[in-house]
Amino acid sequence: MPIDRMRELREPGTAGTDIKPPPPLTETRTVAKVFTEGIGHIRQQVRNLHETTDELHQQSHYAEWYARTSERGRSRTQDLLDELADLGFAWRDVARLVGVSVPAVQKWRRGEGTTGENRQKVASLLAACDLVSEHYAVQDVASWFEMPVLIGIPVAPIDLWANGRSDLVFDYASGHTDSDQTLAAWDPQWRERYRSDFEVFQAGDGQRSVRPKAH
Amino acid sequence: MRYRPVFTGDVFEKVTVQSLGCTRTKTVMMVQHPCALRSNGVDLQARLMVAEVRQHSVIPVEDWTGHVSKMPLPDLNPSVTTRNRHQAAFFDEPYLVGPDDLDLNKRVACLSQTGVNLLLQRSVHHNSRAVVPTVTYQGVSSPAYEEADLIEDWVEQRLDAGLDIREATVEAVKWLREDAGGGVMRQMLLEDPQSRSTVRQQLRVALRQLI
Repeated sequence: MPIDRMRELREPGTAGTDIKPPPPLTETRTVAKVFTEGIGHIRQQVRNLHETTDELHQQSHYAEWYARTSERGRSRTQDLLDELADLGFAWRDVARLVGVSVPAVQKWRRGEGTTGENRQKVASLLAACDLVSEHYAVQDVASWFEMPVLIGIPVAPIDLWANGRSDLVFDYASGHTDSDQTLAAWDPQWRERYRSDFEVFQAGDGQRSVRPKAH
Repeated sequence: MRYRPVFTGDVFEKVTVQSLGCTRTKTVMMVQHPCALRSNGVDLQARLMVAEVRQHSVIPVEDWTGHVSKMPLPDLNPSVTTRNRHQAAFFDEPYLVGPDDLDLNKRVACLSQTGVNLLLQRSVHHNSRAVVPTVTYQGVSSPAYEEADLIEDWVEQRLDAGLDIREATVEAVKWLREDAGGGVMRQMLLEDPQSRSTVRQQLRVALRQLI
């Protein structure tokens, strides 16, 4: 409601003194209501816009990922694996990320044939590494994949990817979600699931050992 | 898998084990922590503790807490269609073995990192009644697991140059114990998940230079 209209409501005019204007607070309430409604409307628009841009960004991101996968897929699987190893990935992690056994990866490394689907999976992993490094300035991408999302919690981008949550990996890499949001999307019970009353420490013999946490 | 150093959770078949006053042949699982298996990083201890592995019906995951004395090994023999397909390691049937009794050609399984953590959790629970979350064991066992991975890679490559497994393992351990810069051994860098990829990259470069 416009401010002038509210002033009119307060003005007694010629109606006589028995007609009391609305209490001043009403004006404030009314202004607040108008502002609340207006801002609420804008907020909803922003939210809608945010959702739309999120979707668009995700779509363009995936389109680029698919295009790069297709490009990467032209290389031999053996060469793709070599490139992943040069980035610093462990063979066992490559196997997990692609969803096959370690012996399967060992066979591919020796040049044994892969199915088209598996070749594409290896290519898509490498394409994702390209995207994450180039768009989000992630240095040493293999190390980033292994780095826990939150210190002390054994969930890293590698775990998210291996469980089919490439969406979380890209969102986390881009900074659109923080550690807490990523973990909550991964497992709403993560705080309880990864709680431990024990800690790792360097024992007197120099080896890592386990002891109860000091409270 | 053939060149991987013997590690916690490995399953060997047809192993001569020492029992009370006699020897027997068993399928067994290594149950000690990786750090307890070797004293110098290369050679296995003279006596190693193992648990017998034999047939056991599949234990549903929700019942694992009720079988504290066992490490379930479902589908250990995936190609077998009889009841022998599923096995378990029995912590209450321990034996001792010597390093020479462990033939790498008779190793039938290696555990994943998660599997090793579960084994440590269950064996400690059985032996001490203390339950430590697997997430904590991850911090203790993962550097050793990484090291085994790297040694396996090194040995596989160096056999082509005419070295035997022990020679190649000695070479790999020596390399891992070299200073990676700032007075820190590569072996120590493996304790930090963020540094592991760097060590792997360095290993590939080192192997290329040796060829």
